[in-house]
Amino acid sequence: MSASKRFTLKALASASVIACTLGIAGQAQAAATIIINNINQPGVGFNDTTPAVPVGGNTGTTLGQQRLIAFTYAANIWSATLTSSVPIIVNAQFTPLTCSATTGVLGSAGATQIFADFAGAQRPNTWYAYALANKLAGTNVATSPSPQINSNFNSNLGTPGCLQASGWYYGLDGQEGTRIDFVAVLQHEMGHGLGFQTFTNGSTGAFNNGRPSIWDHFLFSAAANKNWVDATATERAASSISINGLIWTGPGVTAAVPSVLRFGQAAVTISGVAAGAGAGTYIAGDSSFGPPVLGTSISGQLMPVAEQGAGAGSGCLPFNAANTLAVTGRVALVDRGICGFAVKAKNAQNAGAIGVIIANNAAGLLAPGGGDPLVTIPVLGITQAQGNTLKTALQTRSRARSGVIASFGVFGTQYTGADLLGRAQMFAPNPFQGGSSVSHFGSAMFRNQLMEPAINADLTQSVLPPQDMTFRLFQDIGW
Amino acid sequence: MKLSLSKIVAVGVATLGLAGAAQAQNVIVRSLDAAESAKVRAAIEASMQAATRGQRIGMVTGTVDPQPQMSRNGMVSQELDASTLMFSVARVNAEGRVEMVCINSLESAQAALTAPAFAKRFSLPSKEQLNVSK
Repeated sequence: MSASKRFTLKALASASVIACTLGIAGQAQAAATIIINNINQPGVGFNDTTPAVPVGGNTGTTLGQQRLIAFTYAANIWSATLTSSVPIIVNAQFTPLTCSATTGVLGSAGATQIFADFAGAQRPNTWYAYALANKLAGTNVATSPSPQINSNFNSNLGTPGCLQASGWYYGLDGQEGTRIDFVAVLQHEMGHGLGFQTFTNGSTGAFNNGRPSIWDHFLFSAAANKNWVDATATERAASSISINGLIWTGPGVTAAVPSVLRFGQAAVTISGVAAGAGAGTYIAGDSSFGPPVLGTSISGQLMPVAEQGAGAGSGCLPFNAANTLAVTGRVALVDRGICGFAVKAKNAQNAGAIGVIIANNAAGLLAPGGGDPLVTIPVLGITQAQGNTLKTALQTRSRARSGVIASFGVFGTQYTGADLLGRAQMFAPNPFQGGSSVSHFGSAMFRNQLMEPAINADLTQSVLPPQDMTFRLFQDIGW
Repeated sequence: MKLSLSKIVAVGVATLGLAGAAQAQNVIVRSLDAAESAKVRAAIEASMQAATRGQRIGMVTGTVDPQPQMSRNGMVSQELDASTLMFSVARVNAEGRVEMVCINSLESAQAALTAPAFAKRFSLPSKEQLNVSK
């Protein structure tokens, strides 16, 4: 055995162990073998010998090794979660795909065959993805067996002319920074290949060759008050663009909603002897960085951050002594503008703030985006009008005391991303969005889910509650 | 498709005791021989190329416009073509941040790449609606 091959064995085993320790204990009895068919030619893709520096727990020292280790890692998460006596075979390759300096296809995956009315099918006359059909049958159901999933990822990503500044991140730790987390993308696409997909046309409502998919037994049109399997094509198409009216009725997902999705929206409650007209609860926008506000969170005196020089922006510079004195151990109120939200939050945190409220400088609620993994205090956005109200209440403050208390929490009577009955909403925007609609969780969900249409930066790699509902949906359809 | 393989390159297996329960995971990586892998790649590529022309060619056998097939035991199967694949696409938005979305079908994915911006992927007033970094 060559040195490089010994390395590969060791590194892949390492990737397996790391994945195994990822909090998958909830599926302690799960077991499925996943076979990755490396179909790349020598020297390219998984076999690319370009030297690479180990990163984020990925010990590979060539590009090909790192790709294979990361692929193995993601596959291992599914392997540890799913149960099947039939190996799941995945064709895998890296090839050049459509790309430019600012846009690109990252990759693709999907089932190679679908089946209905096989031995073990839980519903008659219903399409199942190949891997799931095998699991339910306990044998390979195909008369012409093939790998169950095809996958292909862009080998040019990160090279000149192909999203060069945003190449793949092959680390296993989810710390991709400004790059693209290969593990997250692969987890998502492999999820589709395993069956997170209806084969019914969401745009027209037409069943695939006259048969519903297993998904259609759990997709529910609120307007028609019917599951898709019982609805007309017109009703299915209408529910695909119903915004909040496409519901998943499977018991596994519904049971998971309370432990995964936040009950209510993020809010700031203002109180205190000096709160005056500012007292009350303000619905706030979630930030994409810092710890999420999932319930009762931080509480402290609210102090405004003064601009340190004309045009410098509120909170954009490391805090001077006056601002530091104001916010240490308190909640900082900064205005939007000049610099990124994460910069403001980090400066406030460095000055000792326990939380940050960012007031919009334009109409509308603000959900502060961007990212900085080093921000560890909660950050919420409010409207410009709300910010002005709070600033009025803060006018009587001293340098280190305001008498205005800001408490972060949640407010409301609905799970974020579920209907009033607590059932998960599926992605049904209007107009229909080619391909993203229907076969994803609704993107309003909080916390973010692996199988939302957008692959968000705050995913945890877990596919189980309390982080994620993907496996619960899989259980609903028979996994 | 023939699945006999020339060699097993690597096997990543971890067996850990977690919370008193043995947990086995298996991911096996193997390389097809040159001829077999070339055949598989060609089938996938043909299906992808056909999808860009609006045609359907099965990803496994290359069958044109694959239709459901019923076996003697009543089972129905259908080979899928590349138009049913799910695609992840990315773009650098006006703020310089990378956005990623998942799109079903090559045609839709390519349309998304040539559009001025990704269609907003939110269905309720939500974190994504006004999620900007500055």
